Amino acid sequence: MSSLAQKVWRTALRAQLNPKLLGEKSFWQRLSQVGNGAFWIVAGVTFFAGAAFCQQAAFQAQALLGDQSFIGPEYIVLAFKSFGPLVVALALMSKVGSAFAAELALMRQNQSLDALVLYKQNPGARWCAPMGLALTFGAVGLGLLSTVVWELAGMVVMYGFHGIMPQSFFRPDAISRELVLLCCIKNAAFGQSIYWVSLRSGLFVGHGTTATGFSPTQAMVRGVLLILFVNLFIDFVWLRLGF
Amino acid sequence: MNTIFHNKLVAIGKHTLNPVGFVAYALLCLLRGQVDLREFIRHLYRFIYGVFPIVLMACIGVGGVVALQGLEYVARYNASEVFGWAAGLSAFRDVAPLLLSFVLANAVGARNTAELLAWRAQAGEVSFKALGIHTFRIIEGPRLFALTVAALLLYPIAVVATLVSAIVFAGMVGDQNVYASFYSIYHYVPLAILGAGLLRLGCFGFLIGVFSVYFARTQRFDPLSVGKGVGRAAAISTLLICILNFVLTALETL
Amino acid sequence: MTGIPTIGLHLQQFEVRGRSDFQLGPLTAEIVPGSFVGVLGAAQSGKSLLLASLCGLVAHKGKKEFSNAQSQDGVNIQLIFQEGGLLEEQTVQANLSLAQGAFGAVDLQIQNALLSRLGIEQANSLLPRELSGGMRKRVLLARALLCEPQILLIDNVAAGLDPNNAQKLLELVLEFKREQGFTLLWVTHEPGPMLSHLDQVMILQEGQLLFMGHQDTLPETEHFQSYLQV
Repeated sequence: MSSLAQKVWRTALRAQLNPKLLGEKSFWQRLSQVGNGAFWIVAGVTFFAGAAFCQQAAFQAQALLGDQSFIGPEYIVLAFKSFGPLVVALALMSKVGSAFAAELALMRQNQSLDALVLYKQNPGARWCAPMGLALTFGAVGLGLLSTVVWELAGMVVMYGFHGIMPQSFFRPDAISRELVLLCCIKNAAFGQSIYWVSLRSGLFVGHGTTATGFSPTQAMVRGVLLILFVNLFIDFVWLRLGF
Repeated sequence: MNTIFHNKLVAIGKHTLNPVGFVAYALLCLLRGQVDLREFIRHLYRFIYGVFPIVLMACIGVGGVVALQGLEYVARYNASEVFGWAAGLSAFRDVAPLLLSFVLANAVGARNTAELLAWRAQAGEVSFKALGIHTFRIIEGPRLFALTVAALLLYPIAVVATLVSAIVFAGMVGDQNVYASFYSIYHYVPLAILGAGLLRLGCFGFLIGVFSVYFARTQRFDPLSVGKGVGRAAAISTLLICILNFVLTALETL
Repeated sequence: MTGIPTIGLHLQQFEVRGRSDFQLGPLTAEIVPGSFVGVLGAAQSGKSLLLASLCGLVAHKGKKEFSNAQSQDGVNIQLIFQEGGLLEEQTVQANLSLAQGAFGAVDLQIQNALLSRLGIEQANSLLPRELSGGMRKRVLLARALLCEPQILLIDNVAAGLDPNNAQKLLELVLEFKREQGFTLLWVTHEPGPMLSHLDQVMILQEGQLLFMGHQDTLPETEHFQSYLQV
C-alpha cells in the first residue's frame, strides 16, 4: 500500500507551508522533543569539537608564526560559518532524525499511519509536518546556542592551555550580520534536510521488524551525505555572491 | 532543571562506566584469542565494501568544506602557495578524521547495532547460548575489531579522496593551481602527521565498535527501542569521538 | 439494534493494485445488509488489500455501492487492523479518544463503560506495549465500536490468540453485532469456530474471487474444503 506513504510524503512536505493544516500543540511538542532530545548531545559535541580546533589552531599559530592574537576572530567566524552548523546538524541527525525515522517506520509497520487516515487525522500534516518545522526552527535555535558553546570552549582552552584571558580572546567584532544570516540559513537548510531523509526512510520502509530497525540507519547515512552536500552548495553560492 | 541535569549525569555515568567493563572484557577476549578470525575477515570485507561508496561521497563533501575554508585564508593572507599544506593538515589530521569517524558512526556503527539487535530479536543470542557457543567470539568480537581495522584501512582512502576533491574544487572555484597545491603537500606536510591521523582513526573506530556492540547488548529489542537505540549509539559515539579527539589533540600539542 | 440503518455492499468489476504490482480483482460480489461474511484465502491472496480498499485506505477501480445507505459517501466503515494500528507512545484512552473524536464527541463515560463491558477497564491508562495479546485485541475492538460502524471489517485479529481468547473475542463481536446490527467482514485463517455463525464465505485466491456464497454450498472437492479446515 505504498500509495498511502506517497500521499503522506507529499502532504508532509507541503503542509509545512500551510499553518492552518498544522496542529499548533503538536508543533510545540515536537520542538520540545528536538530541544530536549538534542541539546546535551549538540552542546557536548560542539564544545569538544570547538576545543580541539582551537587547541590545534593555537598550537600551529604559536609554532609557525609565534603569534596567537589572530585566532580569536578566526575561531568565532568558524562557529557561524562552517564547522558550527555542520557539527550541530550531524549531532541532530543522529539523535533526533534517526528517532523520527524509527517512529515513522514503526507507524508504517503496525499500521497506525493507516489508522490515522481512517480516523481523519491527516498524518502528513498533523503528525509529520510539525516535526519538519520543529527541526528547522530547532536547528536554527540550537545552531545559535551552539555558537555560544563553541566560543566558551575556545575561551576555556585558550585560558587553560595558553593563559590568554577570555575577554581578549572573545572578538564579537568579527561577526557580521551576513555571517549570522549564513549561520541561520545553513541550520534551517540542515533541519529541512534531516526532516526529508528521516521522513523518506521512515515512510518507505520495507516489511518486517528488521526493516524497521534498519530505517534509522538508512536515514543517518543519507542524512550525513545530504548535510555535507547541502553545506557545500550553500558555501559555493555564498562565495559566488561575493560574501 | 536540576533534576534534568542530575538525570543526564546519571545516564552518562551509567553508559560510560559499563562500557569500560565491556572494553576490558573485549581486550581480554582478544588477548586470549577468543575472536574468530574467519568472521573477523568476513565482517572487515563487509564493512569496507558496504561503506566505501558512502565514504567516497562524504569525502568529496568534506573536501569541498576544506577547499572553501582554505581558499578564504589564501585570499585573505595572499598565500596561495600554502593552500596544499593547509588542506593537507586538515585532511590528514583535523577535519577528515573527525568527519570520517562521524560517517562511520552513522553508517557502520549504527548498522552494526541494528544487525545485532535484529539477531537478538530473532532469538539468535538465546539459541547460540543454548548451543554453548561463545557469542563474543563469533558474533560481537569480530564485528568490534573489524570496525576498528576498517576505520584504519579507510583512512588513507579517505585522505586521498578528501585531498583530491579539495584541490580540484579549489582549482575550479578559486583558480588555485592544482600542481602547486600537490607540490605544497609533498614539500611541507610532514609524514609523521599520517601516524597521528591513523592513531585517531584507530581510536575512533574502536570507540564506534565498542558502543555499537554495547548498545546492542543493553537495548530492548522491540521495533521502537531498536530504532531509538541505533540513533542513541550513533549520537553517544559522536560525542565520545569529539571528547577523544580533544584529548588526543591536547596530548599531541602539549 | 441502534437506529443506524444496516448497510449492504455491492462490488462490480472491483479492482485494486497493491504492493509489488499485486492485482486484486476484477471481482463482483454482493454482501447482504447485516450479514456476517468470512473472508478466507491463503497468504498473499489479497484479503487485507480488499479490506483496506473497502474502507477507502487504498484507491480502487470499478463499482463500490452501498445498499440501504442515505448517501454513498456517508457510510461509516471501520477496520480492525491486523497489526493493531495503535499509537504506541499514547495511552489506550488517548488512542480511543482520537478515534471517537473523529466521528463525534469524545465521551469518557462511554469509553469506560465499553472497556468495562469488554473486561479491560484497567487498560485505560496503560500504553499499548503494556497490554497482553488478548487485552490488545479487545482495545482494538473497543476503538472500532466507539466509532459506531455500519460496516465492520476485521483483519485476522484473532491471530496469535489462544483458542479460549479467540472464542471469547468472537462471542464479543457477535454480541455487539446483534446489538448494533452492523455488517461484518472477518478475514481469518482459522474459520472453524465461526463457521456456524457465518452467513457467507468469500474465498480469494491470488487476487481472484474463487467462491462467494453460503459455506454449505461450497463444492465438496478437497481444494475448496481445505479453506474451511481449522
